[in-house]
Amino acid sequence: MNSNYNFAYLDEGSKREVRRTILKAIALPGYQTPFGSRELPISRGWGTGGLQITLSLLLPQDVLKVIDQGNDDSVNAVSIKRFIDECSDVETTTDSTKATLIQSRHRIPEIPLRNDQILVLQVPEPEPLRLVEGSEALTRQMHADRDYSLMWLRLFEDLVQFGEITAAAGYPVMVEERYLMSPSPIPRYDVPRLNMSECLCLFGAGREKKIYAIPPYTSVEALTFEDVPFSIESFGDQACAKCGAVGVFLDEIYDQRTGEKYYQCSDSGYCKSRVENAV
Amino acid sequence: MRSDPALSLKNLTVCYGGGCEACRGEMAKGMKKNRCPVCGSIWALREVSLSLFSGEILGVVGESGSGKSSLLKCLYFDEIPLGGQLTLPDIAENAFSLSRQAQRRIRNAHMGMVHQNPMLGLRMDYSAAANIAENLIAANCRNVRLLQDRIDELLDIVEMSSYRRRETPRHFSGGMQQRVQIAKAIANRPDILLLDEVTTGLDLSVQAKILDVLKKIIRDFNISAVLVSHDLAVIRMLAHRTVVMLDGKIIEQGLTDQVLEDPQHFYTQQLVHSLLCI
Repeated sequence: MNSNYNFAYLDEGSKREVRRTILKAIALPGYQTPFGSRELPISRGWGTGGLQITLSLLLPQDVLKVIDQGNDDSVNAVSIKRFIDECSDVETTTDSTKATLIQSRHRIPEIPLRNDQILVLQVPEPEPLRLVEGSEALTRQMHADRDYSLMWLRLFEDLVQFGEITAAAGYPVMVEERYLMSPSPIPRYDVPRLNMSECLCLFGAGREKKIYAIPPYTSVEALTFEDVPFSIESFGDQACAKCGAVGVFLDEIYDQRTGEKYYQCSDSGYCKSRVENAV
Repeated sequence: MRSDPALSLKNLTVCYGGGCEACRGEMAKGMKKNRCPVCGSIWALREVSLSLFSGEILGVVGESGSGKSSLLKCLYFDEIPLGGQLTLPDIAENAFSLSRQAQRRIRNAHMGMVHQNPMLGLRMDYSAAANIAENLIAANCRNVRLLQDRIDELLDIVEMSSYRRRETPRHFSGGMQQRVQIAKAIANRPDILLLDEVTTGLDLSVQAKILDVLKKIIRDFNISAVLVSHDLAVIRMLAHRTVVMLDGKIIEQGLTDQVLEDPQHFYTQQLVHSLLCI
């Protein structure tokens, strides 16, 4: 740890303010709570929202896991891990079961999380209605009125034009039948896993200065028409080429030399633990 | 036509600009013009009262700036009036004093609006089908099969080919855009249809077709309508009763034939005379 930094980089006042915002966000599941987003030594759009939540909640005894698109070793994950390590010295892990705090981008870890864990998701665009309405004033009004017909219209337009709903990542969800929420750009596969999840899920958008939350055991429903059920990505009977897992979210990979297509677990920590257990 | 009113409006007042001591109260009523000489506020509607009866088409005529469109905006809850009372069947309170959500519910269930400018009434980036479905979705219809069936039915009513349902209105002619707007407006089987200069800017043959479609819809579905138009020929063709507006006030009203054949107010006489001159 570099002793010139305060523990977990942010000053205690800033951390307190972020924690207060988190408490408010937990009290209003799915509501985008504004907060004073701080400057960090990484660029906006590279996970500053999630990072501020992580830094505010971090305790010396925490075990941290940082993943990017399910991968523990991607540039974004490694950079964030290295930064936190430099200013806090907390233990880091790739094992989701050991982590107390998991910061993620675009994925939820494969194993179901427990109620003593916190999942922090980085969010590029917190407003699900931005796709259909450009004005912040109007989207706030729509949330206040619980008027989400424009989002439904957007989904219907997809059905008219393409015969299916094309939204892949960040599929809009209703939280506790009150607020429409963007679950961050997680794949559809992860959306049902937010419903009644045991762990606390926090969402941070640093550039947009918003934090929102899904407390444990909260209802999270994907928007669906009565006769068009919500569907998740299907990989058929494909198995992970490394660990042989089936029924998990897989990445499609092409071998550069042979051009052969194969599949691999998107959650690298999960894959690694399966391989180690098998050995 | 039944005699119970589909809506009843009392002392509707709309002011753009907030007003001042000089133009509020008695002055607003007494002012000859609707623009306050002191603060420049525009009194778009000054204590307008009218009733619309079930199955009736009420024509509203007047020059530009007389308050016709403001009247429709207030009736559609797009404009918050300074004062006035709107009474609707089965709603005990003044509809203007209801919450925004309640007003939206009333609008979705009981009203449809066709704008003069299709850009105001349609989403140009969405297909015709989605545009027509918008009001149905706003009224909580979440069944795609029902939506599709109703869209086909509505396209048939407005005499549009259903193969154009996937096209966006920006690729349609003015007449086609108005047909989509009409289909959207009647999607929820409204009791009241608000028509704001629906045929303005269309050529005569298209105008005639649109008016025929409207006439048929209003008759077949027993809808009450408020028809705003500059065109006295359109008013004569469709409206049972007509009100004439000038500077935010109703200056004359009566049966359409009576108003057009025997106008009492000087302005109405000029208006009818100008039609004869053309």
